[in-house]
Amino acid sequence: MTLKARRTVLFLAVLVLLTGALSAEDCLPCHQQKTPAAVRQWEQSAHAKARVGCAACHGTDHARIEKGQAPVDLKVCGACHAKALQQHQASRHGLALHTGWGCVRNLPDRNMDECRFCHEAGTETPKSTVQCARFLKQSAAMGQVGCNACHQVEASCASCHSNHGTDLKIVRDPNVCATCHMGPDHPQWEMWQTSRHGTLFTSAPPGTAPSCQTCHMPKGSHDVSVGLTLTSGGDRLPQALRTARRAEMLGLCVTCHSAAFAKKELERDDAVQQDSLAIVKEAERIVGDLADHRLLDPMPDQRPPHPLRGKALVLDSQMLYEDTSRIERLLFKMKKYDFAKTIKGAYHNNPAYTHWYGNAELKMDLVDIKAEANRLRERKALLAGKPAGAASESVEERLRALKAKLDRGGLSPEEYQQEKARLLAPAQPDKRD
Amino acid sequence: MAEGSRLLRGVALAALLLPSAWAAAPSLPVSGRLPAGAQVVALARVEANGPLAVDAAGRKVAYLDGGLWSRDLVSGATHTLTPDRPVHLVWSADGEALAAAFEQGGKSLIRVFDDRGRSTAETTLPGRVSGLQWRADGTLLVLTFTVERFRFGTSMEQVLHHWDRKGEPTARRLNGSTLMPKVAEQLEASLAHMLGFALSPLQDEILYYRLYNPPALTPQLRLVLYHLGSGRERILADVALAAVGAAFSGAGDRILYGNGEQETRLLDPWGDRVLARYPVAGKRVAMSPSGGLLLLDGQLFIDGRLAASFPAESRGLFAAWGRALLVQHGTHLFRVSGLPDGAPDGAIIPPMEAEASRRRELRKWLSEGLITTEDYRLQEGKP
Repeated sequence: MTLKARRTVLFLAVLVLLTGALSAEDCLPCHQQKTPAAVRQWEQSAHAKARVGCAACHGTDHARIEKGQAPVDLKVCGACHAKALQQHQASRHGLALHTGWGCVRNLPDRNMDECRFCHEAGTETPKSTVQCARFLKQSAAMGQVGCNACHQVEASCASCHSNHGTDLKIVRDPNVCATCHMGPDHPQWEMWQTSRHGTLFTSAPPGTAPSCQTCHMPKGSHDVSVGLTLTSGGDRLPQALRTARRAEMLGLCVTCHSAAFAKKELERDDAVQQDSLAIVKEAERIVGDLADHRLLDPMPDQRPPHPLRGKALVLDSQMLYEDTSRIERLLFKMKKYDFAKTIKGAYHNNPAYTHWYGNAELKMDLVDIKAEANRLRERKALLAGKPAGAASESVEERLRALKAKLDRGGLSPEEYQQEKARLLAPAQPDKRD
Repeated sequence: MAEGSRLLRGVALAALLLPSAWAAAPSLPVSGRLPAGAQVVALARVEANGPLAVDAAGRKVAYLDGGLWSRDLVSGATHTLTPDRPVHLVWSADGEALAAAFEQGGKSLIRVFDDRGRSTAETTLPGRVSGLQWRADGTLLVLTFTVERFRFGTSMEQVLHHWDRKGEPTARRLNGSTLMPKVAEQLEASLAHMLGFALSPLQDEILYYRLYNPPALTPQLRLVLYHLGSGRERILADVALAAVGAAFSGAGDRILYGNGEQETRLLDPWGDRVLARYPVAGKRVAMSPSGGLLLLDGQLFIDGRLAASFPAESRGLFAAWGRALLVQHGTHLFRVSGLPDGAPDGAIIPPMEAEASRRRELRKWLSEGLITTEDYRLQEGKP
């Protein structure tokens, strides 16, 4: 934390101590009538026992509270729970509102323009507004319930802890994770629940098998990124960080397993991740190549602009599932659902998710994408009145495709120069004749 | 006897009048020496600031003198086409049709005349015309502008129209800009002559001017090379408001423009090179088809060297083919013939079709950023 941040936290802590205990009695007479559940939960909480009253968190300006202008966000909690705040902000949960994908700054070949989605230009200061393309496409109502209800975890401790209770049973129960970590894009809760770990957790005596928190929030840590070697998009973290994170995870595994067993298991899962990523990259190349040759239907410049990139083709973490072409929608499903299920299924030791819900779907996605690519190529030939499979591209079309490939990072400038020179060279007679 | 007397009186009158008529014959002041064999002939009386046009072969001219006139320079035949007063004129490539633009309030009438002065087609366009050109396929390109005044400033829009002389013209917006109210007020009357355009001999690009009026800076003209196929454009230069006559060479491989202050440049914008610089403001420039003759503010350069000078305010027109140079000085139009131009009489200067086709292709790719100027030079065989 910076010096300025520490001073702010200290100031808020003093303020809480000065005002907290004084105000609860003022609020209770009314709120026992108007919000009885909140009062009941508070009365049973550690806050009440420590004489931390309503005003400590909500402030004393009732008008602002009623207007929703005095949210009890993580800064308010962090005034007293500084260590938890620090751990939370350093973790993937601490970035949930901004990207939903974790910080990407250390990924190789990352488009650094993406930093501006989350940070003020030229600084590490996070922005307060959400910059996720899929969020920006939603109506306000859908954004609230469909996006923010989970991604607010960045700014709200209540996402897991509930608003007025402080009972740690709530946040030590795997069910608390289920609200968000389920469903087609990352069903970690279902994976865990139906894995050997999850079934033993339910059927065997307490302490036999781990919960979500055992591995991801060890010893009550709020850094949920402990031991994770991938971004939530499934890319590998840089080597140095990956090595450190792997050591952290192995340190957790060996509390139950032998080190050799745990290492072997995780390395096997790494191999699944690499094999699966290769399938995704192949699909991305196919879609990128189609876009280079203007074969997507519709092309990015023929559909509503992407909220962050306008008319550009977007296949990375800001990819959309709406206002796109069919083949991109297939790629979205492949990356966001099936790739995620495969690799997360492997790391969570769930055979069915790794194979049938993940790997099989992933491979069938590639079949579909190849078939759709063929259809689009044949469609172009048909529209041009040429027989399917005919070499129909002019030098201009090939130059344009080459430039598009360079612009989307599919070619290095040197490779581009070589390819372009080859296209512009006068046709040479075929010496085989 | 009576007949003889009348004859004598006629001869006497002619004897009195002829010397005075000879003395009044207009002449074009020339300083320096025109090349051997060059001749200057007065052609017609014209309005000082009226439009002028010469056909590609240099055989027909059209000009304003009260009304619109055409003259066949070979036969000497003169026709009056209309008493109306056009603002721009241009002959078709074959010299069989003349297009004229007339202002009608805030609109413009485009009328096409045949060589006998009959109107064969017309259309009306919104805005005022600042230039018109024939394409080789017999269609017309017309550049118009509109000026709209608001409290905060003046908005100006330039639109390029394409008219096939049959249906409705199609339009594409080239530029929209905001002008300071005072600048707009000062310039509005002269915009029709300031914002002209030239069509590349390869028919694929135009050169046009747009007003550039950033706050707190002197307004300028911005010379733009616009590709008709790709719709992409490149800004070539910012020049003074007085410099209004950029030109393509006949082969379409060079562009001549003056900056209106100290220098005129011969440019190869596709290869990104300045080929020559002349210490002349270049407010009025003209270039012969081969590029061997330049008329820069009345100064005649032959193969890069100053040969002779006409008055600085005179303006010149080279025919698209051949060697004809027309010079307007004041209210008279002259023909300067017999100039060396490095090309045979009547030669068609544009490149052979195969070469032109390749050059068009390269320029389109260049305009779209698919190749670089270096690639262009290599492909042109001029590294």
